[in-house]
Amino acid sequence: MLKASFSNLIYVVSMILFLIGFYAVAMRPSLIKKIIGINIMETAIFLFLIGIGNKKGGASPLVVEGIEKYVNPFPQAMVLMALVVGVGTTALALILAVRLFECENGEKR
Amino acid sequence: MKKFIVIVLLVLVGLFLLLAVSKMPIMGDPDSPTNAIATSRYIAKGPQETGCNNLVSAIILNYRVYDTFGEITVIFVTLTAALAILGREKAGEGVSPLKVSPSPLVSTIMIIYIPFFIVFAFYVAIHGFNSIGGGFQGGVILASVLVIYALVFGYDEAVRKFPPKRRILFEGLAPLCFVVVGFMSILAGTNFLNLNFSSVSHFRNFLTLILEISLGLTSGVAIASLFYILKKVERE
Repeated sequence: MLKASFSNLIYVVSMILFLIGFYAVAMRPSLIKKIIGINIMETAIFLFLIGIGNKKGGASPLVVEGIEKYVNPFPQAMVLMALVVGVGTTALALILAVRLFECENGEKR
Repeated sequence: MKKFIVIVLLVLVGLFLLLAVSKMPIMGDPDSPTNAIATSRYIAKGPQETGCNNLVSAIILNYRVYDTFGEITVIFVTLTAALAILGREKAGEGVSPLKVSPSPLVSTIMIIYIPFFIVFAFYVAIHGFNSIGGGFQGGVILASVLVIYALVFGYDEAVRKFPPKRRILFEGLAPLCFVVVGFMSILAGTNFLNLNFSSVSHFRNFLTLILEISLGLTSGVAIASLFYILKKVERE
């Protein structure tokens, strides 16, 4: 099992990043640190997807005459979408945290 | 006690993930299932079928344009939820002078640079067709212009320069463009958001360009609006 994992080191790195994010979400009391943990988990997924789409010796997915071998453009497109959705979820989580902070301090709006 | 449970859970999840990783095909293998099936079509026929040399743009704006439509809806809904929770900042209300006036060096450099930033944002958005770039990337550069303006010249000045009244048009632009283009393709007799309904390839490229620019404007202005909403709270 370990030997097979060493040939796929980038997947193991993304797995460790995911676990670090999970630990931050589960153990840290501060809401901001929990949000940072969610972001680290997202980054781990992006790394995993980009790793899946890699091809050895492939060029970047930009069609130029004379090049035959390209890396897989599909995971890159999905990661681009996930990045923007990640901005949305982070912003919404931050705004909810701000509102919660206001409520705890008894401010009215 | 909680720490112990979490660490046991982490080790269990880690072991299962390691088991999954050890069964995966070797990274960079051209014959692995993810690389073999749909991708060969995208790479072989992408430029002819979509008009984009940048295959990522080709997938986002043509093959999987449904996903992009759903995603721009996500951005729009995020902004709507933020407005419902915290509310829009009000232009011209409670205008307070900056505590520290901006340094003349920084403000002069920003005044010179901001037009170039905006031109670069549009270049990245439009040129994503044939080169590295795309709508979202250009939009994020545009958002950085709005954010840096607020940081250098102060929040009130930025709200006066880019009032919500002007931003609201751009925030709804991309969902509107997608719906209009989608119904155009229905009226032409094909499926919703099928850009290849016309036999003229220039018309398809024109529609793709419109979608790309609206995507950039909306994502950029929406991200900047989220920043302005959060910044409002800090001042109060």
